[in-house]
Amino acid sequence: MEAKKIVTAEILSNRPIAKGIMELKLLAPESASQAKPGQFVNVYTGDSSLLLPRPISICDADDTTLTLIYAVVGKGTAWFADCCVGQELRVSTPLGNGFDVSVVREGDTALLIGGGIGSCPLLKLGKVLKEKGVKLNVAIGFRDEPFLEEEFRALGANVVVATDSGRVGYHGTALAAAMDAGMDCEHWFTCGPKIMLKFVAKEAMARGRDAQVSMEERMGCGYGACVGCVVDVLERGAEAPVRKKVCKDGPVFLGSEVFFDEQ
Amino acid sequence: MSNKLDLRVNIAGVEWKNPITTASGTFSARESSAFYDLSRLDAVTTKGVADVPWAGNPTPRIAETYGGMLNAVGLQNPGVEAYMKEELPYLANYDTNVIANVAGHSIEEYCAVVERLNDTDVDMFEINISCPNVKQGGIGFGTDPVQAGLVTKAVKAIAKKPMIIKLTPNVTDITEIAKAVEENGADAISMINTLLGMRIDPRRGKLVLANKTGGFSGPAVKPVAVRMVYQVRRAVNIPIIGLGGISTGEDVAEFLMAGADAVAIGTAALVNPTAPVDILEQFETYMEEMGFTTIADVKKAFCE
Ligand SMILES: Cc1cc2nc3c(=O)[nH]c(=O)nc-3n(C[C@H](O)[C@H](O)[C@H](O)COP(=O)(O)OP(=O)(O)OC[C@H]3O[C@@H](n4cnc5c(N)ncnc54)[C@H](O)[C@@H]3O)c2cc1C
Ligand SMILES: Cc1cc2nc3c(=O)[nH]c(=O)nc-3n(C[C@H](O)[C@H](O)[C@H](O)COP(=O)(O)O)c2cc1C
Repeated sequence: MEAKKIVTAEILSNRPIAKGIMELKLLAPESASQAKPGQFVNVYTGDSSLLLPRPISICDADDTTLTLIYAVVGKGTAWFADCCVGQELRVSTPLGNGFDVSVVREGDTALLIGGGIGSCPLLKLGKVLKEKGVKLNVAIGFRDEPFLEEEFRALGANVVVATDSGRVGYHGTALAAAMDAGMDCEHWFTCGPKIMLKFVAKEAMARGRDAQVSMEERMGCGYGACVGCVVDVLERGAEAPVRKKVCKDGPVFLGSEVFFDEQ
Repeated sequence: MSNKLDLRVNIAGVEWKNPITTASGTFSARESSAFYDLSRLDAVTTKGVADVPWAGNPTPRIAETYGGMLNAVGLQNPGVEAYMKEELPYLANYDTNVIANVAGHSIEEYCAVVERLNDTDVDMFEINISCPNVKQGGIGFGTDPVQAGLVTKAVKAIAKKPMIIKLTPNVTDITEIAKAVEENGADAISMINTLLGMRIDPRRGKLVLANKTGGFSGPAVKPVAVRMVYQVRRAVNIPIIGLGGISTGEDVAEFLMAGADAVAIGTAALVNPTAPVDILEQFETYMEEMGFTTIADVKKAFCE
């Protein structure tokens, strides 16, 4: 089994890319070189009153550098936002299963639907799919101010942007924007708020597809020990749903297997 | 690490090579062993296991608090059969004692698990009469000396391995419960389980945990645990495994001085997966710095 670790990373940059949204680049070769799309890392604050690690998706990674994008929503992410270039930060090696790209073949088409900060892990996914020679459709939705649009366009993807406010792009959800634009594809991947994942999973199924959905849940340890973050999953052929750990068995599950309304 | 140190302790007839184990619910054989070699610990304590699978509570189950956390996992576990098929064979790869933490809603359920595990490689039982999350039962046993005595007696009658009773701190006088379980045959006591807590999100005006309440653990609870170990040490003679907020080598010494014979690392291992072995190393350094060679030396150094 591959050994997991908490490593000390150096901050290469930490800058705002939209209101309340920060992009953090970390020099963390051990962590970055293993990263698969859809995996996340645990990031630790240096404030010992904030005990738990913050799970943040891997937005991009090369052999040495991890790119994370985070929304400043509470004490921990505010602490990260105050970090300076050159400062050290403790992060884990990649956790979770990530998206299953083995099912996608050269020449296939893939639809990536992101909701807000949930768009971030789709970027690394888009890069990996592009390398495989997959044709990409991307629909990303935001409350008011989009980000990452250019990065997705740089992949040669068809991109539609939606905002709840209607200030930029399509006025409505990313899913509606994608469907209006006729973006249905053989493979669906999505990450964002639970309610969005539910509708994306349903829509995919209605079209005879099965979306890979990346779930979010409050985590304790983030590595499978505490059984804090669970989701009810009914696996194909199984009679009863089982409670799976989002951090360990996920965060990516098949949309057809997740019980969105239970609990 | 010096060879001069002798960290051995004897807990209810079981020889431990050092006084550190994991706390139930904060350790998973497979997940924790991805971070460190389990053989470095003397004993590992596994997640509470019941006679049949338990689904646990709805999410969110976890909330952070100042220097601590709340959990309302609700003892989700795959049941004793799965435990015997998955967890125990995996642990057999390591040179470490196994303490099986046992959960139940009734005396019969506790006994069913113990009976099933009697002839396995489990080295000790830890009977959790204290988890505050389970609505039926659980808390009732641990908060009433008569009930606590009854479970202890019933399980002791069938247990083929030494039996630790794990106490809840959510009582007025923990020494009463400790005495009751000692009188009824407990071989050792572990304490404390989590303190019952609650959080409200003032921005949303809502409870943070779906279960409303949760068990409070982590560094913030340590003084409560130390005080209770101290009190119980003066009320009973059986060994005490102390836990509650331990996150450094000096915390271990603090518990030993309060009267514990061994300790367990819980929430610290959720924060830092290698905490149990890191804390062991820190404790060794502490002993060397203090000129101690045995656990008895540490305890003796405490005088009031
Ligand atoms: C698998 C996964 C991937 C994620 N990826 C990203 C990402 O790429 N970018 C990003 O901005 N956010 C991401 N999140 C959400 C992010 O973890 C939280 O926004 C963050 O932990 C908030 O921390 P805080 O201290 O600022 O907030 P506080 O509310 O002060 O945090 C208190 C506690 O609640 C937890 N918490 C709070 N909000 C969430 C949440 N929405 N989900 C899970 N735990 C939460 C915190 O980790 C902490 O333990 C991800 C969550 C998960 C589970
Ligand atoms: C997520 C979590 C799950 C737990 N599950 C159990 C359990 O199954 N059985 C048990 O006896 N105690 C359980 N506990 C309690 C711990 O074993 C320990 O008694 C408590 O957390 C105090 O120690 P700490 O502050 O070092 O964590 C759990 C604690 C946490 C945080």
